This record gives sequence, structure tokens and C-alpha cells, in this order.
Amino acid sequence: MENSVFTFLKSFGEHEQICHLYENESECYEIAASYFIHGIKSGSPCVYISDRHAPPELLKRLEGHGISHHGGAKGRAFEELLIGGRSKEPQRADDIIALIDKGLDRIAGKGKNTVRVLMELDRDPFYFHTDSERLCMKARLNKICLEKPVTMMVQYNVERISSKELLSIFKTHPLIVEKNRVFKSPLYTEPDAILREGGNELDRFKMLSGKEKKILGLITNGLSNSAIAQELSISIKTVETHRANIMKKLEIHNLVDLVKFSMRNGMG
Amino acid sequence: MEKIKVLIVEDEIIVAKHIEDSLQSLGYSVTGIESSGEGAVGHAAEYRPDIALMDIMLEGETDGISAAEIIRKRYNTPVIFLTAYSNEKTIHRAKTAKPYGYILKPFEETDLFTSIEIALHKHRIERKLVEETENALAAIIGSAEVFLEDGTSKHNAETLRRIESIRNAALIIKETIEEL
Repeated sequence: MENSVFTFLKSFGEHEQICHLYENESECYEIAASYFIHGIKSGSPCVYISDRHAPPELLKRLEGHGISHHGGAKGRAFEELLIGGRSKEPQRADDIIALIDKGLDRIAGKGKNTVRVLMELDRDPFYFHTDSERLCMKARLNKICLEKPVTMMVQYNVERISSKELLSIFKTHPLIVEKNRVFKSPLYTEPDAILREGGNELDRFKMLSGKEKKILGLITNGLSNSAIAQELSISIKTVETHRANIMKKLEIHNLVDLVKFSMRNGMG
Repeated sequence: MEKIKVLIVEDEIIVAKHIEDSLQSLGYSVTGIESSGEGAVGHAAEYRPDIALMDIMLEGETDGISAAEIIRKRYNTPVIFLTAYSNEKTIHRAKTAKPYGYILKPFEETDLFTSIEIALHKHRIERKLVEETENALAAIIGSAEVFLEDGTSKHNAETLRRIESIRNAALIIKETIEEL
């Protein structure tokens, strides 16, 4: 089965980039750990979702990087963990999705340098009627996380996944680890690259000089370069150079994205 | 004031020299004479002329119309066609390169002068339009998209629908301006 799945994977040349994470091999923990480090560095809340226990090897590696973990729902209702209250256990995947969606909003505000462990249950926390329902749910969960954005790791038992189901997961997964091989999707950024470039948004924002920040603020308010030049008593050419430098520092290639970045970082 | 730099693209050397003399006596500086489309593109890249006068029929694979299109898109250099061809088919094709003028041979020095001045003026206005509006449009579209991306978790659906209309309207303006 395993072979057929990955033969299938390879037949989709471009999908080599789109990945998932499944095996409890130690190499995988190393990569999973960097995945979380990357998430934390880029300021997104990290969640580990598994129907098994959070592997001690993974937690040990994270602690080595000064990252603590919270949560773990052993014996507690999943909903209680997410929402902090107790109510009827959800029965359907859709209910659970809605809960997680709500729950992630809460998690998002909490705890820096933290990996939250959800659904660490001895038994399967989901009551799915079919395997594909279960997989679709996980894929959708991932999508929610990517939109929030939340760095999340989900474990799959590859032997139970059909090729078709695998594809639906690939569409939303940033990273796949298969024993000693790693596949990355375009959504995935190398943790090393992030660290090297001083890379999360906020860090990059901090690289801007005072004047650059001021100009960015004025651009975000829609002032033209000539208006900015007038406002700051400098030449238009200087404004243009500043604007180009700002975009270079932030690694942003168009003005709309520049405005979005600026707003997301509290300017404008 | 710095002289306006003009590139001449013409494969008949006598005609080219004549144009060069006319331009110089009108007070322009000539960055060079090229006889092929490929040469014109390379020249524009290296010398960044303010404007190019381009014959349509040229040596080499690339004709004047294709070369004009490349030069305008890549280096934002306005082009005036300078040609003996006035048939409908040629003019129709020439339009696709969005020229800033079309001078028919034979021409007078004053034709050169007025065409170049009008083309440069038109080009400056278009650039000004882009420069004066690009930050403003980015601000509208960018802010609208931040709202839309936050979605229903932060804003109500009616507000989002309206913001989407604003964003779409701004996109239309942006695309229209970019087409210039």
C-alpha cells in the first residue's frame, strides 16, 4: 500500500512539492520541530493535532529550542480543551470543524513560544463514518490553519489513505515527511531561511529605518510620491528610491501587497 | 536643460542621416542609428533614449512594429513610426504597438518637431497619471483586501460585500491605467 501511494505521488511531478507528515521516525521529529520553530518565529500560533500522544521525542527537541508545549487532552473532552467549557461531545466532522475554527481564534491570542497540543487522546477523538470523511476534515482543518495562519502538524496513517484522498490533503498541506524523504509545498518556508534572513514579517518590518516607516505610512494612506516628497521636503527621486528600498527590504514586489503588509503591521 | 535623447531606427542609411541632421538642427541629441529591430531593442536597453523614431520595414527578423512594442513595454520608451506605408492593414497592425505618433514619408522638419513634442507631452501626462494614482489605488485595493481577508470573523457580510465592490471598482481603474 505504502509503495503504491508514493508511486502515485511521484507520478505527479509537480506534487512532489506538496506534502504531508506521517511517520513516527526520529528524522520526522527533527523536521516537525523545525516546522514549529518556523511557525513560532513567524509569529503564528502553533498547534499539534494528533490522535496519538504528542511524541516525547518531538517535545524534547522543542524544549531544546526553548519552546514549551501546552495542552494535551488526555481523558478530557476535546471541546473542553478548545473552548474551555464542557458540553455535549460533538458527533460529526462539521461540528468539530466549527469548534476548532472557534477554538483556534482563542488559541491565536495566547502564549508565545508555545506549541499547543490538541486532541491528544488515547482514542480517536473524531466520530467519523468513513475514513475519507476523517481525511477531508483534517485537510479542511489545515486550510483553516493556513488562513488564520496557524502552524499545524497533523499525523496521518498513510496505510489507510487512498490516492484520491491524499491529493485533497496535498492541496492544503505545507509539508510532507515520509520516513527519510521530505516533500515541500510552495506554502512551506525553510526554517533556516527564515532565521537567516531575520525573516518573519515583524522582524523585517523592524529593519526599516524611521524615515522608511514614515514613508510607508504615507503610501499606505494613498499619498502619491510627489505628495510625499512635498510633505517631507525631499525630492521625488528620493521618495522613489526609499519606496524601492522598502519593498526590497520587505521582499514585497507590488504596491498592493506593500499596503497590505503595512496595515497588517499596524501602520496606516 | 538637458537635450531630449532620440533613437533613430531606419535601415536606409541616407534617410537615417537626413533624419539625424534634422533632429540635431531642431536641438535634439541622437543616441544612435539602428537598422534592425533587434538592434533597436538592444540600443534602447543600453542608452535609454527618451523617444524612438521607428521605420516599420527593417532588416532582420523583428520588424519595427514588434520592436516598438518591446521597447514600450520593457523600457517605457515612447515610439513614433516613420514610414512610407500608409495602407490600412499596416496602420491597423501599427496600432497594436500603441505608438505615440505616425509620420508619413516624405516629411518636413516641422512634422518631426511637432510629432516628437506631442508624443513626449502625451507620454509625460500618462506617466504622471500612473505616478499620481498608483499609491492611492494600491491603498484602496490593499486596505479592501485586508478587510476581505479578515472576512466574516471580524466584519459583517453586508460591509464585506460593499468593500468588495469598492475593491473591484478600484481594480478596474488600475487595469485601465496600466493599459496605457
